[in-house]
Amino acid sequence: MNLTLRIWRQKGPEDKGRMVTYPVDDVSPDMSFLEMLDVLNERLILAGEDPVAFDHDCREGICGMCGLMINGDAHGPQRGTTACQLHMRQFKDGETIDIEPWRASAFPVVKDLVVNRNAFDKIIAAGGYITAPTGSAPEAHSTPVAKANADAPSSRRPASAAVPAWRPARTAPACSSPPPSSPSSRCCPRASRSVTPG
Amino acid sequence: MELFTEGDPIADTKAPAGPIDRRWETRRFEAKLVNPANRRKMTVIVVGTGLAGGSAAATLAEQGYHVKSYCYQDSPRRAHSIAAQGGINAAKNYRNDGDSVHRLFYDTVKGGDFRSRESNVHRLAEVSVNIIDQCVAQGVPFAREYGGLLDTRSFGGAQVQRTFYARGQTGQQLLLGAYQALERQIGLGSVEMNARHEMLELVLVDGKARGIVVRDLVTGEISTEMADAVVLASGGYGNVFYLSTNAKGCNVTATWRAHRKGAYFANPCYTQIHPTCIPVSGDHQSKLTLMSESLRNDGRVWVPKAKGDDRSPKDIPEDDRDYYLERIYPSFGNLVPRDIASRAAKNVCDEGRGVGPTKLGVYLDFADAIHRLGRKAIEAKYGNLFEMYERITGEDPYEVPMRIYPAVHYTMGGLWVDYDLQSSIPGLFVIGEANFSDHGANRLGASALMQGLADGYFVLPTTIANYLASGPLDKVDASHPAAVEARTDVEDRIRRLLAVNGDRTVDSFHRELGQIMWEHCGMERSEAGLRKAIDEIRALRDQFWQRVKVSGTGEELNQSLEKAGRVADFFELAELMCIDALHREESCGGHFRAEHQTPDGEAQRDDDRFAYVAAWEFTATGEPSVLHKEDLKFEYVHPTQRSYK
Repeated sequence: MNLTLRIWRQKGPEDKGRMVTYPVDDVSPDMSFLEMLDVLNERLILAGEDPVAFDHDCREGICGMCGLMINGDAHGPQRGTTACQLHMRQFKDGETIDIEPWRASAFPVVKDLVVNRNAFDKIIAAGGYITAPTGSAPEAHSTPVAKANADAPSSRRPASAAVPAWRPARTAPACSSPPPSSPSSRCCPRASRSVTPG
Repeated sequence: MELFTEGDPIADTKAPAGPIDRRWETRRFEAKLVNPANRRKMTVIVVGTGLAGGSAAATLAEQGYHVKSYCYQDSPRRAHSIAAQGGINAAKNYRNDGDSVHRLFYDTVKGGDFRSRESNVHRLAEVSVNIIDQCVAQGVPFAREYGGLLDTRSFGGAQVQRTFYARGQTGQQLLLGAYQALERQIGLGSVEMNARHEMLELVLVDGKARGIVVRDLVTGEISTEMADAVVLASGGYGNVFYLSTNAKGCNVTATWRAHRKGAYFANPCYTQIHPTCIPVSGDHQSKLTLMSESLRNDGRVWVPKAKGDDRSPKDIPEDDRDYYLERIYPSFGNLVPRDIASRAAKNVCDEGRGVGPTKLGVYLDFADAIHRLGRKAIEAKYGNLFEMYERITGEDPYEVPMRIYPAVHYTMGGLWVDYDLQSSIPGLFVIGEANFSDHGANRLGASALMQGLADGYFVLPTTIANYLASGPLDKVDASHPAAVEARTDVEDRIRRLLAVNGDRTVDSFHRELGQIMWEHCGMERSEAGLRKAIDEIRALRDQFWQRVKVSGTGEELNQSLEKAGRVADFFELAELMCIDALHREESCGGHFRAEHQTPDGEAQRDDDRFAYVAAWEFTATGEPSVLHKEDLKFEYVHPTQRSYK
């Protein structure tokens, strides 16, 4: 496949940034989207140009580190799929693909496609935890949890899932209503292999 | 020149004497304590925020120490523990199927092919039950039975069902538990979190670990951080093979830098090749994806009986299929341990019976299970894994059997530690996959999560107190000559990498190094192959320092520079791995020497000569390392030829 990429380049938070066009040839449909970017970067490095910075780590759809706007969609066109699990067979030969960082004031651009997502960590630090200091836990079987709650995909698990079954969780429906299908919900930092957007 | 020299054996691992089931109790009682009022005056650095590092940092902060935590990712919750799929072992015996602490201990020592330390493994089995309690209290959504009690499943190398799991995302859920405990301490001001920071050097003052040099990956700023003790929880080194199931950022730099400063590196050749990964599809491949071992509960592994049988799997009748694991290992069948399943796959592919476009693959077939249990039941158990497989390969595993092939997954070797998890450098502790201690020559499935959390929540927080209580240590800051020297070394090295400005990318070198390692130090090793690999690695390393091209500068976010530093360390580690593999003239667990096999092709240990831990001491670049042997004594589990037939 031969593709034309239009990629957001921005040297740092203070730089204005702009879209830059790069042709990429000989893309295999079996490549992941990030492997396609690797090919581009290898070429840029050898040409003495600055490679495109993008975040990624596990490349198996679980760590939540990658995150690109691809043709205007968070993580691209395939629903429930992170950018690292998106494969080029989802695109057509000759296509032009726009690649941008997430754009939200909560996620300031660090460089190119890399954004700062520490806002989520701050929310968790402010109280997004269960207080269970090490060593203080009771025997695991002292708190049964309804199977329906335990089985619910993490993206649809009610906040009460960890509440013992003998408390209101038992009377609560197994799943809360599906999450809204706005693009922002697909940026959920709690990435999940079985991402199941609405 | 000799490849290595031999030094004094390691006489004392600091494990208490006495009956094995009393040793941890004894150690906990004899370990010195630090008065709560003094803890807040002490700083502990923890490098890495996976299950081991995250749980250790949170627990040390709960105890009252001041903790500085570092990770290279943008958030501590990204650490690669998150990718663990199948589960976590614990000797709860909720199934009443004959499990016990002693059986988990026994299975782990046997599974490790009698190359791990009995004292450590027994402690791991004892602590396993507390881990489940702890994680349930944190809200980890383990799978449940209808009545709300915890469910368990089978895993390789065991005949009891002791594996707790949260769908195919056990690591993620456990990590979110540890991460939230860590964030709580960050919010309370007890942990200073430094994400997007990479440790590049260890600082020793008077022979003790007193700090680290880190690079801020966003600004490029180099800083020196001092502490009373340093804990490395930086994971394994599987990425030396370039292609592995590790995250792209996983690297050996933290442990390798510590090794160069005097920490012994133990059993580097013990690497685990996981049998069920999605096969390589082409040269562009950057990473291999694991399909959980739990799939072997219901999937049946097979290849065609005949060489070169190119029919579609659907057209191959039962009589023409070879369910080789069930045939060779009738009592464990598809659930033999990982090393055995991997080598069996390699053997059938070497015979020309592999499947798929590259012929490096075997089928993992769910047709029988779907027929027996119904598609819905299989979906409920493995739905997310099947979806992932389809996304990557474009094939529907409900209709066509999965194709799988072994891939590098885990490294049992790591920095040598004593019973207290302290390395050969006082004040430097090593936990989780970064150390060598519990899995011997082969790790059983669902035991990595167990070990990471055992070390981080329970073992280290107890043993490190004994070290800290022996203080007080002299006050030192970043202006100490040793700290300044370490920092200068880091800056010089970055300058050198940037100055080469050659004509090959870091990835091209890494890929080539990986091919050498996979070829000669992978599933099967031989003397000739290893000697060849050592020569090739040395030649390629010289090329690297003459021809590598790193773009950009050191004073910015520079991913090409990050990779270059990591690959430079992989080159040095790779050579030591091959030397270790060459010197170990036996086969054990994941280390299979072609020259040492039983008549039916199983690993042939040599307990008379090699029942020891090989702990390597660094001398100088290009100089032979010194081998220190720690003899392994088996008082409770008598070494036998491991049999899963």
